[in-house]
Amino acid sequence: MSPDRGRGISPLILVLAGVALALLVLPLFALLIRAPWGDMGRLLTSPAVGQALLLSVVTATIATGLCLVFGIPLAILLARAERWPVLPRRLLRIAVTIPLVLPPVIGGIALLMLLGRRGVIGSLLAELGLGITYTTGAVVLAQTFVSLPFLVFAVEGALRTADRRVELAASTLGASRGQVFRLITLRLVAPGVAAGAVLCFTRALGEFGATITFAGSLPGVTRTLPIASYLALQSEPGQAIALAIILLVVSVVVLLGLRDRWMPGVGR
Amino acid sequence: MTRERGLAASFVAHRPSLRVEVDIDIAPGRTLALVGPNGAGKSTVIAAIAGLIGLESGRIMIDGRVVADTDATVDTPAPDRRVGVVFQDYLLFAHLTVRDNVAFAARVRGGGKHAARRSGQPYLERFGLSGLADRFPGSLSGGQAQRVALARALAAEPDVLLLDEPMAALDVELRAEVRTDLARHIKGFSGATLLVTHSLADVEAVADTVAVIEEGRITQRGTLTQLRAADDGGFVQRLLSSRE
Repeated sequence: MSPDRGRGISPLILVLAGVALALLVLPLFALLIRAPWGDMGRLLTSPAVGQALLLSVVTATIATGLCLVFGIPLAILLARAERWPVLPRRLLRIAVTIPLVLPPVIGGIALLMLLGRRGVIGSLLAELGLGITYTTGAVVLAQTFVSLPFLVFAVEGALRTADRRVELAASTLGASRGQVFRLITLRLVAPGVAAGAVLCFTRALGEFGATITFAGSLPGVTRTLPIASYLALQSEPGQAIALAIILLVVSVVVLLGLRDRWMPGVGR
Repeated sequence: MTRERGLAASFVAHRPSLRVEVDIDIAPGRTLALVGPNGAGKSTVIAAIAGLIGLESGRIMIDGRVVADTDATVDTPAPDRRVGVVFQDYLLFAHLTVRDNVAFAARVRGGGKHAARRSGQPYLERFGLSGLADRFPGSLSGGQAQRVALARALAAEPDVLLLDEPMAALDVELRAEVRTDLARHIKGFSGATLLVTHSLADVEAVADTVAVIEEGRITQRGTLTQLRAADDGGFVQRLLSSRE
């Protein structure tokens, strides 16, 4: 008799899980099967692809940097908010979560309402000649908007599991607040920061809806890889697939580099 | 309470469920053991002296410096109190080597990483840690971790040393040996030492005088001999009849 009797998985669970898994991976296999492998060299070296790839990598890198600068303090605030009254604490958490659950196009529309030429702040900026929409800066903003929660939650998770009493130990040894933050807190959350940055980067790289709504699709200025892929689907499906494969490969490589415990949704 | 050197503390501090009111006076080079049952407020006393929690009222003086006085609204922040603390579970910096744990106080005082390591070196040697200098705390035994915690606290050259149940995290078989070591190092310290414990063996090995704290108040004080002789059914008596 198997020693694992009580831990067996029922056939029904296996079948349903198999369907779920198929839904997740079959489209990706189809992408690989339909890829014009013979023509790949030409497609990937076309100027349009190079331009889109460069723009995507540059903007996603800047967006990740912005997420680090502003996201780590927000994560600290969120972790400290544990001691706040329920309402403000929940509102803060909802504010951070919204970009995760909102359709990115809606995020793009919201950014337009704020920073577009007729937006709440955008109209003032436009008067000063500082239009943001349809610029590379708008791409970065849209990417930052959608990817910030990934960084905040990864860092907040790390802060929660860290034993923060070591910060007190550091202060009794003479460390100022800034030194405690730099020498202790940041090191405690370093794995979370690294994981959050990687997730931010992949999310920013794949950003489509908010970008096309808020930044448009100007070749070399705002036409990122996902947008180029979508547009190519109408005229040259082979190129669309080639672009999609670049994004797929980058995402898989990045996720392979992440340790299990830092994957979104994996408990520690 | 006008001691020139050493620790003089008389204050009220609050923990969520307990009011702690104590009056403590320790001469330099001497050790007071604060004993009492779990939840009596021992760790609160340490946190208040170290500046990790505020006072409700009262005054704390370290080597003639007023570091907290609610009447004069003095409340020196923890980093400036020159109080060395050995926490119950040591709270070593897991991301730093033993060498850099011990050098931490020198590092935050400025002068660079290498100078800090040099000034930590004598402490590594004194505490027999030279062979462990490049290890990380996660790979140390309980006794080794305790030595690192003590070396780290003393390397900051504090005026007062506070030890919060330094034996509690150790296996029982290890304690006797570690205790002898601890006693030797504490005797070599020139400032006032406050040892929080609920072990009579710790008191016998380390302390000059004893104060018993129960439900946030000091109920007995004296030398161990005096408290033994008191035979009044107090905490020390109960400790004597149920020693580890």
